Formats: sequence, structure tokens, C-alpha cells
Amino acid sequence: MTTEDLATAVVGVAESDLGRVTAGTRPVDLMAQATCRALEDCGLGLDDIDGVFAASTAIAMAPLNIAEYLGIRPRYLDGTQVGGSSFVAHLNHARLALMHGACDVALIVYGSTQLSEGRARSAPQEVEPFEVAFGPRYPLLAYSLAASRHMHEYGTTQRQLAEVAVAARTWAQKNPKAWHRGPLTVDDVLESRPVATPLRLLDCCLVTDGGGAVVMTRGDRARDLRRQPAYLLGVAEATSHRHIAQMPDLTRTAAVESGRRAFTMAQLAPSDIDVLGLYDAFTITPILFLEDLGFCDKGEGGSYVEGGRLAFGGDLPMNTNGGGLSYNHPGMYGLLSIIEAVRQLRGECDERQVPGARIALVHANGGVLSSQCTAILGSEPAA
Amino acid sequence: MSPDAPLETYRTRLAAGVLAFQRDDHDRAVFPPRSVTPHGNSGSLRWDESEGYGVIYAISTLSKSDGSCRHLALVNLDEGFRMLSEVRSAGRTPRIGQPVQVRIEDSGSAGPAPYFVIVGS
Repeated sequence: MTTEDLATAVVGVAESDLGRVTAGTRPVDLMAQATCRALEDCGLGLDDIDGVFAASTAIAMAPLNIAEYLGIRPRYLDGTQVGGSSFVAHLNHARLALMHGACDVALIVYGSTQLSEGRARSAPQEVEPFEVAFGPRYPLLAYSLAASRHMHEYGTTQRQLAEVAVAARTWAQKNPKAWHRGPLTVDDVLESRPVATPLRLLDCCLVTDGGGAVVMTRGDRARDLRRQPAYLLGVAEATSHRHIAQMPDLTRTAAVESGRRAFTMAQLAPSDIDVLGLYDAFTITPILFLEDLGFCDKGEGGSYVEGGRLAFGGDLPMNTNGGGLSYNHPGMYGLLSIIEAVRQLRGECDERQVPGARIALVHANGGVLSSQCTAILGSEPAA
Repeated sequence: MSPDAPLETYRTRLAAGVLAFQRDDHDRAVFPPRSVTPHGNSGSLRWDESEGYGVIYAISTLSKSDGSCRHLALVNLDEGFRMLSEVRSAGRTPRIGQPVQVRIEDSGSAGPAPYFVIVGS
């Protein structure tokens, strides 16, 4: 067998309708829509899917719901739910299932109508009895606490946080599907309403409807399908806590572990990455992940994002779809980040295309910095 | 294994005015309370009472639409555990590094709860 045969690859990708969908649309409707579009993208049919990977805060047994809706009976099911990083974990799990022949065509899928139906119904927060008396607002509070600590230990400033939001907007302006495409300055962010200090409204990701689907196969099948495969070169999962009060160090996430293992598997380093997707639930998170994945030293993330380095036209393209901050954030964002990485590798990104992109890194976060999953995708089966 | 539900023991102690936590066989503090010793250590957990002194590790002020605000913090207790709480500071904005002390007060719907005040205020 060749290297290609032993590899696994993403062969089909598609978003569902995004932004604000028709009232009465259910999350499973968006999941099915995205699935059909992803199958059309790669030329496979519903009957080809024999592995289903799904998670949703609104649907307790998501793989079952989508299988029923699509009228399929997969022989491999995975409902791993670790928050927004679930879909990068699903890349890992689909890889293992495909490698062992437990399935031949894996579908990873998500959909949410959190804007249309209200976030409280769409994403009910687990109640922690040791904290309920204090009325914490999660996930927001966890990230504002982390930002407060990063500012205290490393002198990270509000302006540096705002630069992350401004950079995201420069890419959103190049993406016709982005929710916010108007101009945005650092001062605009600093003047937005404080929600949980040090974070302001424009430091926080969007609350939108949306979803997506990706299809994975082994390498031998990938090369016969419609699109250029995006090979999974490295992938890893890590966790350090569930509740923010249990995070050992608020400035150091488990991305240190997931990134190290993903880079080791791929036999690559940060300097090899052409395009990045770093989960931007809040402006603090890309700063943390740039440090923890090794793009800059711990504590240097704030200065690293200054000067437009991560913006359109900058040295390190990040969140080229406009991110959760400006493009779309349907509650669990990881799948959308995977889709953008695959499109960059295929050269399908038009105005926001990173020229010659051959290696993409997708890092996703789940819960309250609780789950960290890193994937590295490439245009070739091996680096 | 503790025969009692850890959460219930914790609540019973709060009602008696005590912030309770656990220690493992190496005297390391464990919080929140649980039935199994974490970190792969064998042995048991025993209950202990915190003196209630600690330091603010992280802080965030939540704003409400009516203009009111609350200060929520992660507090490192001197005994070596960390918890989320609200700092009731009578108008002063709490800062990371400030020493705080527990004040168990009624939270209303959730019963007695361990709030914190800035030491010296």
C-alpha cells in the first residue's frame, strides 16, 4: 500500500445556511442540508455513509437524530461532545475508524439555530452546584477571568485583544458569507459595551445560526472523488479541566499538549503552517493558542497580534473566513474552521485565498478552555 | 469512600457557617468535594475546615443592563485550593492579588454561600 492508501482525508465540505435562518428551522434540518451539500461536493451519496460523527448542545443523541433524518443506518457512531472542539476530535475518531475499516465513509456534521430559537434553549448551561449561588454567566465569565489573568501576568492590553477582533474583520470583508463585513477599528472595540471585564461586546464571538458537514475517506478512495483531498497529517486531543475554577493555570491551555502531539504526528512545526484556524470564541483565545501552539513565546501573544500580522495581507493568515468574531459562530464552531482550512488547501477561497497554501492548522476549543483539539491538514498525503 | 454525599456534607457545613474542603493522605487540599481521591493517589479523603483566607487569582466584573454589576473571582484559599465566588466589596473594584476573607451569607434561592470580602475593608 502507498502512503496515500494509509492516509485519511477530508473529501467533501459544505456549510448549511448561515446567519439567521427561516423561523421554525430545526438544527437537524441544517445538519441534513449541510450533509447533502457536502455529498454533492465530493460526488458520494447518502447510501455511502457508514460512519456518523455528530454532537450538539440542542440534541442529546445527535448521531441518532441525523441518521434517522437521512434514512441511513451507519455501522459506526460517535457522539463525542466536548464542546466546540468536538469536530476536531471527530476528525481523530473518524481517522481511526477509517484506518481500521470500521467504516469507509465518515460524515461529521453539526447544525444550530441558536439565534432563531434563543441561546438559552439552544445551549442550556450545566449548573455547577458549588457555583450556582454566585450566578456565573458561562461561557463568557470563564474567558473574561482568563483574560484578566493573562493581562495581570503578561501585561496584555485591551488594545491587543481588540486587534484580534479587527484582524478577523479584515478577512470577513473578503467573505461573502460573513455576518459582519463593515469596517472595524480598535477604538470601535474599546468603545463597545463592557460585558465582563476585561472583555467588551466586540471581544466576543457572534451568536448566529449555522452548521456544516465534512466527509472523510481513506486515501485510496479520496483520489477518485471530485475535489482535491485535504489529508489529515496530524491530530490530537487534550483536556485539563471542565470548570474554569479547576483550570491549573488560566494562562496555559491544554493546547500545549494537543499541539505538540499533532505536530509530532505530522512531523511538522509552526513554521510549516501556511494558514491557521484558531478558535476565536473571544479575543483572548487566539492569543492563548498562538502561545500554546508555539507560534510565539508564552506571554508574547498580545504583541504578536499587533501590527496586523494576522489580518488580511499579514504574515500569518488566521481565521480567513472571518472567524467566530465576524463570520459565523453557531455555538459550536470547530466544524466551520475545518471547512475553511480545506477550502484554502483546495484554492477555493477567491479574494481571501492564501496563495500556495499547502499546510493548514485547525485548533479548536471546547467548554471553558476545557477541551483542546488540534488538526493539521495538507495537500499531500505526507508532509 | 465517604458514606455521605460530598455535596450534602459541604452544604450542611455551610449552613453551620463553615467552608469545608477535603484533604488527601498527603494533606493536599481537594476542592470541590468528591468521593474519590484525584491524581491517582490511593487512600482516602478527609474533611477539613478552611480558615477562609485567600487571595484573588482572577477577577471579572459582570455588567447587567440595569447598570448594576457583580464581581466574580477565582480565589486561591491559603489551604491550597481554588474556588469561584463573588467578591462583595462595597463599591471598590477588587483586583488580582488582594487578600480576601470568606463571609458565608444567604444567597437566597441557593442557600448559604461562601462570598468573599477584601481584607481590611
